[in-house]
Amino acid sequence: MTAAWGVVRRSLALVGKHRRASAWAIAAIAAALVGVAATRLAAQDVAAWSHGARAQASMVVYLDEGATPAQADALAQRLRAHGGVDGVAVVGSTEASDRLRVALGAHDQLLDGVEPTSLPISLEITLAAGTTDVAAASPVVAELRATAGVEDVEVTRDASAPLADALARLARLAWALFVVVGVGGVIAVAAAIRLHLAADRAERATLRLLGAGPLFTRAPTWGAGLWLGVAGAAVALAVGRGLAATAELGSLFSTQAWTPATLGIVLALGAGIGLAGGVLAGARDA
Amino acid sequence: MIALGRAGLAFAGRPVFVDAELAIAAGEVVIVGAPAGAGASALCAMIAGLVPATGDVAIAGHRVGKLRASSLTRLRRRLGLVPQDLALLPDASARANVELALAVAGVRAADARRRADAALAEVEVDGDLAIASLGMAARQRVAWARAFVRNPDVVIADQPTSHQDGAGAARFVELLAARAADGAAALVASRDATLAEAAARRGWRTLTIHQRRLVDVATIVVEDIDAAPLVEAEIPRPTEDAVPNVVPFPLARSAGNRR
Repeated sequence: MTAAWGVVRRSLALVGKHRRASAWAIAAIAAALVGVAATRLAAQDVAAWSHGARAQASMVVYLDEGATPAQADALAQRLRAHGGVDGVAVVGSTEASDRLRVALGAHDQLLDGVEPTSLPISLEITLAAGTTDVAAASPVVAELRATAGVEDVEVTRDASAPLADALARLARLAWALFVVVGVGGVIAVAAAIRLHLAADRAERATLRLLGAGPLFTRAPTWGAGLWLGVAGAAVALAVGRGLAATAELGSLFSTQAWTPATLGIVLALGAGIGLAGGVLAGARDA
Repeated sequence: MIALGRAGLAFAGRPVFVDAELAIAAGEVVIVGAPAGAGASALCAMIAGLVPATGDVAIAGHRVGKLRASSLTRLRRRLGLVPQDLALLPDASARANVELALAVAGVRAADARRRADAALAEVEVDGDLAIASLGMAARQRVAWARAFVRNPDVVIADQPTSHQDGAGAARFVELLAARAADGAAALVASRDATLAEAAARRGWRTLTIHQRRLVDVATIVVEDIDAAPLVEAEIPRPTEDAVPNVVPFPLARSAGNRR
């Protein structure tokens, strides 16, 4: 406990000793975190768009009028086991009726007298990107068509595939950017900490002369990185809060996402970046 | 406690000294009164394990050159070092500098403060003052306090009284003698007359580095004087009819210094 308190005291003293350099380190961490947050949110949005574009059913299996929901579920289960199948949704008679009514809009009186349960159950299948075009020729589809209780199988041409692929690539790029910005943040922090600890090289030499172990010598550097990281995260949160209040950026930094868990993650991320920077600075300067 | 066996040291391929043989027992003080540049500081650094040496260098039974880094680190906690450059933290207070030696050894903060204050009282330095605000003499006394506060088994001091007047040097002798009485072995590199006189008075051995060898001053024969860089012109040459077979080497130099 005493040793831990000693490390806390020495690391805080280290931060306080070089205020200007500490301010730069905090600014670097805050900038890195805001950059990371913006990139991550953008990546999430792109991923959501990409998913939305690809979420359209690329194959529909219409069952006979007499098919039961249990039969539909069993078939859906079978289809889910096939490779290349992203998802299978069972559209029951009632939902089919509801969709038809929505589709007819003002002309929904055409459905008057039609018993919703009389509409056939169908299965909407989402195929993996790039497989839709070959699915029509697949033996699985032929087998499906021959299955008892199956009225028809309709394979839709995947017009959204090129867009979905482009969005998927964009999502991967956004995540790569997220990693690059994060690593850049760690390096920036390490450089800032290292710069302002350079003056303490003599102190570390003295400590080694007195018989201080590596932990005693480096722990304050790690602690300083941690404190700077937490402070940087706090600044980043304040900046994010400010951006959320800005109309143009409100959707990107929506305050709805500001849950205690999110705040904790941001603080932990800042602490992690700072700690990594401190460890890197300590290791390179030891 | 300190043992050298055929120990040698070289910098950039140039030997500083060779085949050093030395044994310092617990409670014994040895003064190395070598001239400037002869390698006394290097000897201190070598014994403290700060520079690599050839041959055997042992402290408290541990061969310094064979120790792993972690073991050497632990061994250094048993040493009281007074480096020539003092190695103090200039921005910290005198008390913080002394406390640091205790913190490194794992002493609780409250105990460290009490012991640091007591050690600083012994050397008559105000613990609240920053090192940067102290004169060199006071800084050197803080370095003594830091070295002695851990009650070290071994004291290695390199020119520890270089910034002191006679009274300050005498104070160091008292503190050193007290630690020796407690069982510490001490090696002090010094050209200070006060220490040389104290050594003579207290029966401490006095060595020098002569022709790259660590030798007892009592063994330097008259014929070697011409070769010894320490000898100054003012030192009276022995005459044919009264030939002493030894010359009190550091004392002769110290006398020269005081003129």
